[in-house]
Amino acid sequence: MNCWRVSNLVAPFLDGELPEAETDAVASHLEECPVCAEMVESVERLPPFPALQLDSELERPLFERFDACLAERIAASLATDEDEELQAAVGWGASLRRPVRVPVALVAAYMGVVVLLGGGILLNHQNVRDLEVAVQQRDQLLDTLRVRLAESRSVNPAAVPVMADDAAEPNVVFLPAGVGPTGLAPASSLPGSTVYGTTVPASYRVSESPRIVH
Amino acid sequence: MGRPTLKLVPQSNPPNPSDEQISETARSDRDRAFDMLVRKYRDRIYYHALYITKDSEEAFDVAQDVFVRAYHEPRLFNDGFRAKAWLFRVCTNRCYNIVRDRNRRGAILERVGKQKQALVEHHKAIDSVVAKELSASMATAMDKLSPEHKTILLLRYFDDLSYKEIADTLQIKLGTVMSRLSRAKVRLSQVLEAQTA
Repeated sequence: MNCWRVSNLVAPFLDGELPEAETDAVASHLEECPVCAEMVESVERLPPFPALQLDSELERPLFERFDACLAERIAASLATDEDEELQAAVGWGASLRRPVRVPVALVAAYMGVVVLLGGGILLNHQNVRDLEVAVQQRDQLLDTLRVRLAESRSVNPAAVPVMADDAAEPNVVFLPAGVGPTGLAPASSLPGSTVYGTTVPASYRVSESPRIVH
Repeated sequence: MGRPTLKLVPQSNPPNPSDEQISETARSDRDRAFDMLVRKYRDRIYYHALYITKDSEEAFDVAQDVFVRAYHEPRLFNDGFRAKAWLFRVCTNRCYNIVRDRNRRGAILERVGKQKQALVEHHKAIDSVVAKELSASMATAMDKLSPEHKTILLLRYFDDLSYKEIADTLQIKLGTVMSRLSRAKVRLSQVLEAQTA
């Protein structure tokens, strides 16, 4: 038992509220510690608390009125409760007659959400429209290319590779401008051979797997 | 169906019923049990409020509020519900709210027309008696303590609550009651010694 502990137990020690073991421990500490003993003595010397007790002449009429006032107030509180229950039971009509108070911050937040959602939807519509236009343009371009390819094949079918999806890509050679006819040479026209009466120079490179690049 | 009324003047109540007797009565007649509770604790609650507020009219109002709230408290007579501690807790909180509001406003609240004139005069007479009683050095020293220390001293030595009841009232542990009460008494003795010196 130390001084700090004794200072926290002085009231129950003096009131007889401590268990026996702790009471003995405090008592033995007080025998050894004059500072704590003086502190406990000063607390023990405290005068009794002043009792606030009115004499009967003042007290009796006060509590008689107390009972009457309390009965009135409880009756009034019950009436208030009944009114509230009645208003709640009326339902929508009653709630609509009361002014609805909505916080400004809630309205602002609601408007902000509406603007963000609306803007997002409009932006999305615009993107979809642009995409549709691009797809249309691509389809038109493909159609044009197919027509041109068909036309060139009808002029010189051997020079135009068939670009069907499932067809094997033919081996083609790119010839320099002014050498041979304009267009693509068949796969057999390798450097050193003769194409349309012209010998392909050996210095010309031939791709192993030439491709048409748009 | 008629509006429920409070029966406050039954004559056959036991003179000083225990809390268990009151709870037992509540099983068959809640209004009668409430009446017994009011008669048992109204003066102690009133004086507790009077000691803190030092105003008879405010103490009267606080005590009335406490019992109106008690009437509407559904757990009041339940097993294990400590009605006494509940009453003192509600009263103490209400009193300190009033004192805090009064200090904030810096003036006595206007209560014109709140009570009947005869009762107002009666309160004035009580206030003069209270002022005389509380002018003693002990009461003056109590006013210099913190609300925390003052409350626990009042509950223990003025309202005569047990340590367990104080713990229930203030909703603190029993060990905290012991230490807080000890520090409050040590502080009170220091204040009194300083006053004497």
